Amino acid sequence: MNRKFQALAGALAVLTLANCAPDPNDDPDALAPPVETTVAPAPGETAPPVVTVAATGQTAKVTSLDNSFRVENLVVEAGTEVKWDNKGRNAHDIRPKDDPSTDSWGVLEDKFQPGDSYSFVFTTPGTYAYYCSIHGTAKVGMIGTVTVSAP
Amino acid sequence: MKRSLLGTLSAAALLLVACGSDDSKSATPTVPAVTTIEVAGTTPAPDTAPDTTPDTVAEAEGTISVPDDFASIQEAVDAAKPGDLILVSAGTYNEAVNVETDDLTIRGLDRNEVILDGQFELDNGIRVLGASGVAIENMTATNYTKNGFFWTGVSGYRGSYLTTYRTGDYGVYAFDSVKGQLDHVWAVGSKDAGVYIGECFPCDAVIDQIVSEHNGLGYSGTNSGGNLLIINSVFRNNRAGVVPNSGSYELCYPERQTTVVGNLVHSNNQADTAAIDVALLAMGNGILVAGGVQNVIERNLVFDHDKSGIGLVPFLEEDPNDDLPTEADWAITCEESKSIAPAEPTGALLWDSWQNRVVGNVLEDNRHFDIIVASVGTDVSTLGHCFSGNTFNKSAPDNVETLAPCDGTGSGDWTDGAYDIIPWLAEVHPPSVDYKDAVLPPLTPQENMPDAATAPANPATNVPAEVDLAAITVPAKP
Repeated sequence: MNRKFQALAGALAVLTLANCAPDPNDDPDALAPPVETTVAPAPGETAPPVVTVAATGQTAKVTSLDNSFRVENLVVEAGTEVKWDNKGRNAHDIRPKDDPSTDSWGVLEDKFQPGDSYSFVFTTPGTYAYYCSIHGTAKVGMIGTVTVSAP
Repeated sequence: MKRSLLGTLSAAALLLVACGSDDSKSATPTVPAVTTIEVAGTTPAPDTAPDTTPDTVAEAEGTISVPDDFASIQEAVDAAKPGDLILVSAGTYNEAVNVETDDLTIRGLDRNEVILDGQFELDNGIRVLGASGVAIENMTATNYTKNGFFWTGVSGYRGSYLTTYRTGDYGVYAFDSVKGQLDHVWAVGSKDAGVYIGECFPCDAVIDQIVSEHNGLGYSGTNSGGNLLIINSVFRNNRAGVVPNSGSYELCYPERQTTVVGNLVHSNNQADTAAIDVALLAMGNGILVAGGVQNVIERNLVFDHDKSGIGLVPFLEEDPNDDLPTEADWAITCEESKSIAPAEPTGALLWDSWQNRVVGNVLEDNRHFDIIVASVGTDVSTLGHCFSGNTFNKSAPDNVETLAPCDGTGSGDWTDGAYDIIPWLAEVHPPSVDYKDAVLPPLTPQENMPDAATAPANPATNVPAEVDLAAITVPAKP
């Protein structure tokens, strides 16, 4: 049942990059695959967060689906760029729980349409909770966290 | 040859998805707002203190009246306690209400006179966020940039006697929610679907006695199913009628085990609606399973479509977010999947529809074919669909009930009259119109719920109602 069309995907990538306005925060050359550790939950247990450990200066990705951030809880080292890709079919936004106006970081709906990306480099250790205000609130719905550890 | 053409066409389609803009979008922060309240036949509601102490009303009677006790629905909701009934009097409420309290019943006293109006500025009429057991009854939502009524992340929801009219995404939208019931809904003029239930398994939900028309899609359900019943309803004059579908842009894939019984599905060729890209692609089909699995489609009357009455077709996802799931992956819950990093996709995904059961439907005047079974690169004889007891004129492949009866062994050649679906991708459909400008049927009075003023609170704590599927018959032609 698994059929992939790699040539098609390549053509799509070329056409998409050629026709979409570039995101100043989006530098594909800077992407490096992070080291990921996924722990499958035992039956009946709450699923643990995926811990993505990325070396300082690298990029970790979060996919914005309709209507969830995947992975929902991300752990990175300080200095890591986190890149959110809106791969859904709806617009979303990324609003820090402590700064919904996105003055410090985050992105509003008009800059996060399907196909858009947003990146931010977290330099200070801590836990950064955020949400999509269209499909959730700071407490429920489309929510996520980035936990930044000391490098 | 086919794949090459498909790739080219799909690439163009993707560009529309990836680079398109939504004219309903705004940079304005989403902040629930109360701007004006006009109460029909009375003096405008006061915007100061309520005339009754809210806690007293809520605790003593469990009923909160709007605007008598609180000027706005949002204020009443914020003051309410689980189990309370919020009774809303006739009037126009320019609000985007958020609900985060369990087990509320929010009821309009008159479905046609209690109108939430977003004025093309507010997102949702009423949005229920993680609050289980919330029932919304007997009111109208119109002119919202997103949705009329929206539940997300709940267990227990009900929407009854609701009208949605001219909304930028969905009319009634239940996402990542289970144990639901939507009944007596009239959903008109949504860019996406009039009614949507998605990202849930098992959904344990019923859509019953609704009318959905002049939307991009009458019903859409992405990655939903499992005791999900769509029954006794009307889907007409949309771009496409009933469209269960799969895709990795939402969790819990694939769509599976939805039951569609006793519906009237007709004339879904409507070219002058607002529409998302999927609705354009699906245009001219009655019941179109796009990458769906193990659905049951029985005893529906389906007529007057430019393409198929019932189509079992693949969905090509050009820019996926994961690999196709195995059946073993189906055991992963929606919640669990949020914490599991997806596979790194290396190409497009083809979500085939398979093992769907099509029985006892009446199909006529579906101008490509009454029944279409198709794939791209997959031998459709291996997909495990079955067909019995349908009344129809023509199918593709020929004689599907001989090829794959639901009881017994099939025979015949699946290549006879095989359907080539690739040209669908090349078709040029009338583009979406702005949902604010779409020509819609007039907003006419709809049936009110019985005893709105006197019926007790009825939170969605015991839904859906039990359904006797066997008693449902093919609806009569209007």
